[in-house]
Amino acid sequence: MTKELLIKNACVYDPLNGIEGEVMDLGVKDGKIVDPSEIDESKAKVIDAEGRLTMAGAIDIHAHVAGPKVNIGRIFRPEDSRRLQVALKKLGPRSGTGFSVPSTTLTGYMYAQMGYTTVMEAATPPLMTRHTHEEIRDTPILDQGAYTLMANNWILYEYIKEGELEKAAAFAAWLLRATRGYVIKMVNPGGTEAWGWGENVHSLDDPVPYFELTPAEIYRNYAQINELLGLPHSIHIHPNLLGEPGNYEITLGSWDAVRDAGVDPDPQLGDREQIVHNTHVQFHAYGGDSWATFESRAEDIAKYLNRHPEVTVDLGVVTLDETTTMTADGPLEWELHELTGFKWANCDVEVETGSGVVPFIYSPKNPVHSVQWAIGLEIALLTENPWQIVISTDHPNGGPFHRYPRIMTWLMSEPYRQEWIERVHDWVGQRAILPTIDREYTWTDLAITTRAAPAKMLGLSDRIGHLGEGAYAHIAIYDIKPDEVDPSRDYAEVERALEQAWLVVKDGQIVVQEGVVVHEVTGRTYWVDVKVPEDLMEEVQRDLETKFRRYYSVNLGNYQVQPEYLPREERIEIDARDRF
Amino acid sequence: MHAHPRHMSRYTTFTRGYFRPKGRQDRTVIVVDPRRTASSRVADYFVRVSPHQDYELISALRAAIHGVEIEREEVAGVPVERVYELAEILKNASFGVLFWGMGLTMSRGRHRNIDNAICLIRDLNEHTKWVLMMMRGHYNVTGFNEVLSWTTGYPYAVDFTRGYPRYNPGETSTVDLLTRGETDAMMAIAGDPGAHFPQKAVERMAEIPLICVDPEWTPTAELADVYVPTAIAGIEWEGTAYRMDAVPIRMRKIVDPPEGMLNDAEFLELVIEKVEEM
Repeated sequence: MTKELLIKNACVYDPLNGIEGEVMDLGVKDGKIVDPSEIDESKAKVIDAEGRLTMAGAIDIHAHVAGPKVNIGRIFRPEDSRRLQVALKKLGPRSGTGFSVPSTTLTGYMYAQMGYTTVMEAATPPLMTRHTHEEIRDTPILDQGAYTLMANNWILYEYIKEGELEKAAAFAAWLLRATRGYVIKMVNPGGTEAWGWGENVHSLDDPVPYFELTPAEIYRNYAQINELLGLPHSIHIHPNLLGEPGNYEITLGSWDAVRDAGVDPDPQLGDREQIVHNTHVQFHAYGGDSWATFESRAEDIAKYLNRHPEVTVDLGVVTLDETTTMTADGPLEWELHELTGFKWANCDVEVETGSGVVPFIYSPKNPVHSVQWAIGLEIALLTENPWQIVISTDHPNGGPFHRYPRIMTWLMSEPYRQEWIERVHDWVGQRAILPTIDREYTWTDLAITTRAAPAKMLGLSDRIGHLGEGAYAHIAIYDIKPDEVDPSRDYAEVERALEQAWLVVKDGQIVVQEGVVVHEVTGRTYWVDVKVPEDLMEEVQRDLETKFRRYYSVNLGNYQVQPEYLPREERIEIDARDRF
Repeated sequence: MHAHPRHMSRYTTFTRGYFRPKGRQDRTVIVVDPRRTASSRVADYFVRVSPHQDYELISALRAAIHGVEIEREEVAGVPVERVYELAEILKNASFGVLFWGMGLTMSRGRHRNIDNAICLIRDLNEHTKWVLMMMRGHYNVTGFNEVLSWTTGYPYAVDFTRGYPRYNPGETSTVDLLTRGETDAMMAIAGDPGAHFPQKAVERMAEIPLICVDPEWTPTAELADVYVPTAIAGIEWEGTAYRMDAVPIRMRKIVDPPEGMLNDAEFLELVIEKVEEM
């Protein structure tokens, strides 16, 4: 155990503290960043970074890395595990497998290798969340949090239909506690429930079978619930009609529906500016009305973002790899299966959600896939304010997370993009505008879109995403010197450096050295514990006793995740009692 | 009904649901089996399939669903009119589940039967909503598959001899290794291969040092050189068990184990400690 650490001559990019490439020293004591003058050099481990690029540990705001459908991906794709096999002591002490759906150990190792220290699991079905936490517990190094799926939940639907918004909010708080969840996650609102009948919803005004709520009403109510509870993150949405030509309209309509809720960002922790976060926005930015007329609508998406700072996104870039798609959007996976003929797994979850898994091969020769690739990058480059953007692939849907360094490099280097534009299908020149964009991300843009912005959006910027005093000592140092390289020209060197961090510190411990995991620490699990008025919660509890008896195959008392499943919980306490 | 005594009452047949308020009356049950069983007696339709002809029956159902004319009078012992009748029932269900048991994998055709059943479900989803679920036995076998998959990438038959997990059923399963005589020692935890494995595999088990870790005295324990009794998970010890639909359930401790009795995890930790000493 290293207690004190002094990192000298680090070239620091720390946008939350306004530091842009300053060569400075960093002190680490008891797992936190301290002023270097507090470090006793005779006792501390001293590391000379010699002007290397240094940032806070990176944050993935949306990745499918743990839980039931991720494991379905592993079970039904042994060929994916066979594609990447890592023996003992190669990347770290233990072995693992999996290219697009790595085993838990390998997930922890490969993220840490790239300097990522926080990874949020994008979707957990409440009933099966024990499984998600068991995988999180077995994932080394990373701090994580699970996003609780709520947009197709009968109990929430019933409260909303009855006009009981406060009860709905109290139930959402109960559900976050029951699942030890961090976010109200919304996937294809109404559509996944309709998939229970083999159907989907096709517009914002298309009512959910039986419940007769429309996606627009669901968005409005959930946005109000989120701000009533004062959650650190906003609602986190995956709109309807993912992946369909022409879907950019329903995407923008969904953002309008959230704005119609008339709420302002009102978190009790942090200072986020958004009222809605649209995940993997690339998949929701399509024009045309068929695959033949498919085109990029990144400009419309970016134009909206430029006008509305209350909307944030992560990219969901397609990396043109063979991968595994997995989502709580059940009807979408059926359509993907019909489209590709590849094997399909479906997992309905009683009362609350469902999911599907289908392998996918994105090919640079395919016109649609090539345009998809362009769209993710276009949105990143056309959106003026990087604080609205987070780099992601919606791992593993757009591509595996270990391709992030390539995406970062594409964004930082116009010549690198040109090299790929020549490799992909001609449609990128005709149906997209990527070839005409010359913006290049700076190191600061990179630090914002991988550290500072996700920390702020999640409401955790007091503790992660930066290197100011008091922050958790999550530090990533890369073997590249910003004053000696031109990322635009030296893109190969940049990509290589970002793939294998020179040094990664997690909670004050050195976990990665020269790209290899040298030490494993136990990650935190973030979750939100919201207090709502006691009498309201009692009423909801009484309702739940009846509802559970009527709807569920498990008893109410067996539903909630026990504390034993979180070996290192970080409970975010929110007192929302005065907000009702 | 016998293999899964709580299945029909608690989950699928008699239980009332949100959209099935009258329970049994709101549901249609079809049982397919070569013989009459307790389950077939509560079914709306019993289909007696000829032994080892499941594949043919599934293919016929798929043909009927696709509207193809079957140029036979009967398939797998089932009259063709009956096959068409069944196909209509399946297509008109609002939510259908095909549960299948070991009989389908252990009869002629084996995993190909399941392959065909998956295709049947796929075909039915073009008409309505259908899913398929395996009726698994052996308590927490699903949990074992889940844990092994997230730790190694594979659900069973994992070989670690090369330093990374490898999976090749037919080569790396326990039965494969035993029948080829490659294993020179064996530890069986919470399973009873002595009662269920093929004879050749059991013969090899008898030849080599065998350790059996199990709360119960079993045929495997009878064969073992060392038998280690452990606490019963879910009665004498807490833990997690995965239901056969992969829902993880917290198992609580109800009574204390006999004094000095370890649980599986404690026992294995002691073994690892000793191995590390050596």
